[in-house]
Amino acid sequence: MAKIKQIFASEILNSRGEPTIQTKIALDNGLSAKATVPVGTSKGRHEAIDLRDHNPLRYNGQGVLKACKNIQDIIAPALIGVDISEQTKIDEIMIGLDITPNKFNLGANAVLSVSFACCRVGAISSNLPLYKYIRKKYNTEDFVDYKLPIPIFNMINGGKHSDDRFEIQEFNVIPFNDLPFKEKFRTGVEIFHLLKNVIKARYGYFATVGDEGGFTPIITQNKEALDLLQESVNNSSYKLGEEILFGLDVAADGFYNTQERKYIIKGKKNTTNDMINLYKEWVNKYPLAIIEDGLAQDSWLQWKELKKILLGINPEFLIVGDNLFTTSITLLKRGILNNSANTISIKANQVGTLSETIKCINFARRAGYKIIISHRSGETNDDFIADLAVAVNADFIKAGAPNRGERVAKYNRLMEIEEELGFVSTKE
Amino acid sequence: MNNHIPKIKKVDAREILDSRGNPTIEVKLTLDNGLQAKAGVPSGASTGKHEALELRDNDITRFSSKGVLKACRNVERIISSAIIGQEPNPKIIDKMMIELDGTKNKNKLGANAILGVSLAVARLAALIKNLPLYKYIREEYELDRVRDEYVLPTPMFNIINGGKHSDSGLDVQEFMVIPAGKTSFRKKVQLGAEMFSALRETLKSRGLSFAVGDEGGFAPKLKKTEKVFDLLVTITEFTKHRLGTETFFGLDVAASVFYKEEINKYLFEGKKRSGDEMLKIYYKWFKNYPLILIEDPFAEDDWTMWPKLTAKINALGSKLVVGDDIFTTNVERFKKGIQLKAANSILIKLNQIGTLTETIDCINLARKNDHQVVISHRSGETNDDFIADLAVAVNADFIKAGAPSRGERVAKYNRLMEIEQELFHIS
Repeated sequence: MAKIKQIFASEILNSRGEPTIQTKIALDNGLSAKATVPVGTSKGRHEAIDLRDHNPLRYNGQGVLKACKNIQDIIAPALIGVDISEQTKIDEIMIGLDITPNKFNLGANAVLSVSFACCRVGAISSNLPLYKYIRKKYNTEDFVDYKLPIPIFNMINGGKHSDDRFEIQEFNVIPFNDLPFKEKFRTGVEIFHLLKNVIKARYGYFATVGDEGGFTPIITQNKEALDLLQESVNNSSYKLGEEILFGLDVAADGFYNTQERKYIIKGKKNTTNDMINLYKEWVNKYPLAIIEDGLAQDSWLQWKELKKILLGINPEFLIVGDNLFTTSITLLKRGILNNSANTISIKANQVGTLSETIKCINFARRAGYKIIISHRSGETNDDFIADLAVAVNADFIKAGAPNRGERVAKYNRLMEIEEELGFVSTKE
Repeated sequence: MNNHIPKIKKVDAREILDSRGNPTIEVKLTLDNGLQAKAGVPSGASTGKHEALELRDNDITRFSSKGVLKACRNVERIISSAIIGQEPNPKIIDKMMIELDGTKNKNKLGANAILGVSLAVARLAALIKNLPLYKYIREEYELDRVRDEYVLPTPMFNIINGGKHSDSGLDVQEFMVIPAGKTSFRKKVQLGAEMFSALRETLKSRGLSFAVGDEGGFAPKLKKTEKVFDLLVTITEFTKHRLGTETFFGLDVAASVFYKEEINKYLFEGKKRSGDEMLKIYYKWFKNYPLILIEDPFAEDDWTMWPKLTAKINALGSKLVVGDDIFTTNVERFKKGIQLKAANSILIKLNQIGTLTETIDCINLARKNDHQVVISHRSGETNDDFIADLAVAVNADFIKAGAPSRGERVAKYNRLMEIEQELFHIS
């Protein structure tokens, strides 16, 4: 079996122009692979540590030379010579080296880049596509068949991901039809361009985009974003409410005042009840099917109330925990106990290794949760999460609007996988 | 001894999405020994009228007519039948495709179809020789006669987008920050990224938009060119990068966009201006700001104004007048430009001409005639980083790959940092 021969980490730039890590792993059989890691802006309090240099002379303190050094000096000596097919063991060695629950010592960015690069080169070495290799390694074979995830397109970026004029972070469009992934993707692309036209016509300017590729129109009210989406879909040949549904990633922590326990929208203080009523109103008015982080993290019981009310209107409604769970089994257990959500957003860099990520996915599955595999706002062109989503038959993938290289990379890879699996041809 | 030279066995083309959310082609070639290579093709928004043809489906039911299934079919049915069984040599295969197409601007097969194959062939050839792409290109095209050493290009970061690429109200299409000091490429990227980040914070604090345009730069509503210069000066001071020694500016005016042919005037910043008036404005900017480069200052067929400006700028010493839309990486047009002394530098875009070989011909012509070479991306890009290797292969003076943001832009800068590490062990 092939063994790890060399590990090399370097600082590269991510999609926001900030440093991140690229790790290259070479095996003794001559094969090698690289992986890079993303970073979030809107982070949960319980996320694993994204290690930064804090040297003000370089990149405003955002450099990752320390994390690279951790890979070279600490992780590499422990992993060189290890059999590449033992992904779980590789991850366990790193978890053991770090010993903290949130990868405080080595940095989750350092650990994850090694974890991903090992898995990728392991797949190459086994001559398997990455998604098949992941499934095989983690015995996620309760699924016999492969299923492509449904894409969630973040078409309008608000909150911290854009100019901050309106509070809600993401307004999503979700193609809910029985068509293949590539047709769902085309649906998203066409609506994206129609939305651009609507924004141009209404506000008279070309549209620029936020970190995740969605538009950042000069609106001030959250509701206007839903109206823009509605108008765009109505201008298309797709049926709103049947083929196209909407979703929100509220990222409520972004405008929650923890002292007063109020949600501040345009200066107005809103209680949890006010928020729930607002969502109720929107669910009745718009084809809204998903709300992520609708309330602040740690508000477990309020989440339960939100879930009860929205599922009362639509039993299929998805209440998604992202900051609430931060891909942590401990927090997920608490959510299950409190009946706080029914869907989890999975971000590998919130926890730091592939093995822990898959454990969390499996746990969520067993509890009847739906799975969303998610990108971060500071991404790279690495398309690992596309393969991960297929490996675990994720229900959804969130990779931004269909533009910006780092976003379309994931969608392009999913189209490639779909074709490889023989589901469709891209030539028809 | 088995001297089998691997041959092309399979040619696949598929429709993927580019960075603007428009379809483009990705070509995948497979050799009979199992090796594979892919290439993605970019697409421009501000296209010179003399560019090679980008083939689109014009089928209104898909992607607002922008699908590229026809071009994919041309690759898989027409080009493939000519190149399957051939050794992957870009010089030979490019020539075959040019003949197969038979038209002047690749009307028949589409420059997007041809370029995808051309780039993937070069990648495969490099793989067979077990060489990094930049070394392979230099060897294959015998470019080492130009200069022996490898020199990394200086990056030009388009951090403010105007013109067609944005809604800033600015007529000038691109405002670039150029770290032209004597330092490593990696340090230059750091400078660009720090400027970019400082600009974002400044825009935020002034209540201006910090969303980004197609090429990753910001598009704040600043309206006047000089206001942008002033802002860039402020940012440079803020980041403590020295202006005029480490940090310089560049402009891509893309003047064809605001040139009114009927009246032979440039509609610039609200006024109709003659070519000579524009020249005066440019000259003043060169005098007042650390401006070292101007691209497309006049319309693509304004052959009278170009030489006038170039003569004046040459007198200032080591400043660049770059031709993009005027030359469109086309040897014929470029020869005319050389004869008329229209510019002193050329912008090179692979998809303006359609094959690697023709692109290198154009670069060689530039070198022979003492023109500086700027290798450029397009506004609709993919994550393909071919141009990074191309720039190193030909010792390009500059590379233009947008702001240090958006995956498809940083892909090129990241690859250049990797090449630098490989060549000079800079970390």
